[in-house]
Amino acid sequence: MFTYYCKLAWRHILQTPALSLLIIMAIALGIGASMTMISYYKAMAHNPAGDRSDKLHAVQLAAYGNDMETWGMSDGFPRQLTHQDVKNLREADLSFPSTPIYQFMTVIVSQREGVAPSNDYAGRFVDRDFFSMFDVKFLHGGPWSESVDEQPENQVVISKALSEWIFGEVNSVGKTFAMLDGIMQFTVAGVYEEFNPQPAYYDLTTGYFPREGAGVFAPYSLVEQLETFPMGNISGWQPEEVNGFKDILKSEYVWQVFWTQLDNEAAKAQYKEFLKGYVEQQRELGRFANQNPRGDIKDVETWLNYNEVISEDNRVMVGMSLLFLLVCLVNAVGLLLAKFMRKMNEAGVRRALGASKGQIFSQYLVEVGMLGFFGGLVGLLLASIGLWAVRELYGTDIARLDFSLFIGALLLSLLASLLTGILPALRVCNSNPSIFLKAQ
Amino acid sequence: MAFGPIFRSTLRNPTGALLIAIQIALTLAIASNMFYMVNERVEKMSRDTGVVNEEVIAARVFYFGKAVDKAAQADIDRKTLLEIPGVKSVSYSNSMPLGGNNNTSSLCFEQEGDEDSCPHSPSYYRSDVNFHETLGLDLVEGRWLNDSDNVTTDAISIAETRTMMLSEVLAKLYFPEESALGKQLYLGGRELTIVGVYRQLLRPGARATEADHTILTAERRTSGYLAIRVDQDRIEQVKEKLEATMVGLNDQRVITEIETMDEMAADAYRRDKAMVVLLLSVVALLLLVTALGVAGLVSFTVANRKKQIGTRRALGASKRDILAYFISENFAITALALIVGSGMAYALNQYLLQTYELARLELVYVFVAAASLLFISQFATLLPALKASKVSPAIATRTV
Repeated sequence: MFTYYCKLAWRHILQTPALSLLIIMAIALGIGASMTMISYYKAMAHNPAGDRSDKLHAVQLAAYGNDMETWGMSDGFPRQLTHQDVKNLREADLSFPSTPIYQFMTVIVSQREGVAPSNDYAGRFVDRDFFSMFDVKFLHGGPWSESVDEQPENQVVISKALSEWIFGEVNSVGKTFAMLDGIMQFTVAGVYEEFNPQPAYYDLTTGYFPREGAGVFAPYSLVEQLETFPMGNISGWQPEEVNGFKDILKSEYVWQVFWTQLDNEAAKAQYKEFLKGYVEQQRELGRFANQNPRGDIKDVETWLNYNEVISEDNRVMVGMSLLFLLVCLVNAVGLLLAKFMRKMNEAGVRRALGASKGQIFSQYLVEVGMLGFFGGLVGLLLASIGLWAVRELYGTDIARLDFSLFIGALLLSLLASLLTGILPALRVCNSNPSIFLKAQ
Repeated sequence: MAFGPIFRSTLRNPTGALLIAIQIALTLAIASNMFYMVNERVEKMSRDTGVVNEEVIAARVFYFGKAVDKAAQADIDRKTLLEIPGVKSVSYSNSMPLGGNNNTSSLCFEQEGDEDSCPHSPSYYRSDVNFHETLGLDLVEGRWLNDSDNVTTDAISIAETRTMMLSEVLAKLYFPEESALGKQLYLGGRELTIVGVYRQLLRPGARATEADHTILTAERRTSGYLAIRVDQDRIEQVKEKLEATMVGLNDQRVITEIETMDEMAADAYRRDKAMVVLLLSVVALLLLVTALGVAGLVSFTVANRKKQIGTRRALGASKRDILAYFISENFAITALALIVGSGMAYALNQYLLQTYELARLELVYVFVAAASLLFISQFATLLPALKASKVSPAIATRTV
């Protein structure tokens, strides 16, 4: 029966090509527009931490004074930390993996012939734990040894692309190159494939969706001796005279992030307790002199939402495209009505020959479903064009159609068309056969 | 034209009319809000930067390696660049309007200011004294910063600065009744005297609000942003040669992000432009779909009323009467739908207001959207209505 209905539906579609094409296009445009915006939204809403999302935690401290009520974000925490606090957190007697992060600008000198020094590759200071916490995949070598986190050595971990740029080869473990001022020498401890999670949740201070991933990671233990200024945001709650890097280290300016890995509830509770004690202790030293001194930890999911990685624009566009889909569907209902009314005669004949109302109804629903299916296919084509446009417009690589969305779009258009098809199909099957028979 | 019979025959079979009405009302609600959002972005993008955009190139200069006398090098840079044909002015600054590296600080009436005495947080530029000339700023009152204001500093905070200039908007905000000249304000806790007011200069970045709250201070800058003003017809040539020229003078530095002001603006407003393009595409498709839908539904009605039309024709109605009949029916439906749609437009705007902090919808956008929809709807009716007018009177006698 189903195949017979399909055959009939196909014949009907061919009999009213213009109207059928209009219906297919209406559904396709609605699906195409909404799928474009939903795909882009989904790419932005992606949580690259996967199953580590509820384990990794960003640490925040309400470390401002002046008896202020609130400062920073809406919950009264600044997004970043002072160097003093990071230093203390780092040296705290806790066994959880953890790492501070801040980004620095560096000039790197290539050892290939005729290549000028470049500052295209960004660097970050991190601790050794960073690589396991954020799942950096090594091609050669590995992180620097544990002792380097305590006794600084000029060792770095670099990306495959950077290794090729400097040395002309992927495996550069053990080799040295010049970085920062272009004179200081650093030894390569490890080379990683590529590390550019989207969004770059590990460090959101210098952009959410960087086109290029991190190029070089250097031991955080070098920070005080290298005196390298950060590239990201620096903010403060009081005017402070800062004349050099040493002043920044001692200041109340916030400019670093700190991550810690807490695998279970007990660990989280323990860390929160530790932060409480830390805030108390700092208060006694005269810091944290605000109305509600406290610390907080946020897991990756919370952190991404907190930083508003998905912009308002994207939410608005998703809403608008869904409204557009609604208009397209209302449109399709009208066009389907028009199409089916032309087929009233045939329905009358079939009814007179003994077809039940249910049979006529399901036959027309099959036809609607077929239109919806074609609409969905064309819609996907339009969505891939739309996503290409989005990538060009925003200068990003992330907006792509994935398989689940592909299936989702087809199901959505099928469902939508069946819903819209109910009214016209009911109209057809409820029509009185005698009128049309007379008209033959 | 008698609306009575039209109204009655529409009521007898309201499905088609209802569908047209729903579609038009929805379209009006969506399109007017989209028009509004587009206009907001376009206004933001076409803001006056205060700079002679078409004549300015900017680049970033980073030193590395052996210690260099940067001040002496900056003098050499300036001299060499000014010798290039077309180059009119050269300046170093910490940041550029619509560019990166934004320094912001609260501007207060008192040193230990609480929130009341620090009403705004402007961005401040730390540039050499040629900056205004290079960008082509306009003086409103007082004087430009000169060598007497210049400080030498490597400091991160403005430790030695004593004087500043304000944008006109900012000066008016702090001193609405009187001239700002000679007055003192505290920027990041430092007392600075206002020596001049310039007409306009945007902040770095692409903020939507308070973008013209800016301050100029003078120091002997030697790195950061290099800004060059060039005759418009030489700008591409100078831009191409800039990196080689600068590195040729001193190879212990990297020159990056060499861009004209127009390119910088395009980068800064990228998201806004994307939003405009996407919104306009959806609006265009929306109107197209609505037009096709109306045309489809009217032809459906025409097909439905073939006999009725034939009867009317047989009873003496002219082709024009039939045409007018369908056009006025559509007019009535569309007009009603537009009234409902305006209400829906405001409801949608209310929702957007609460959820996304968008601005309140202005009446003119609803009006423009309604007018274009009325036109589109009437136009879409024309073709099927013409077809209807060609129905032969004979059809009335043929059946039933």
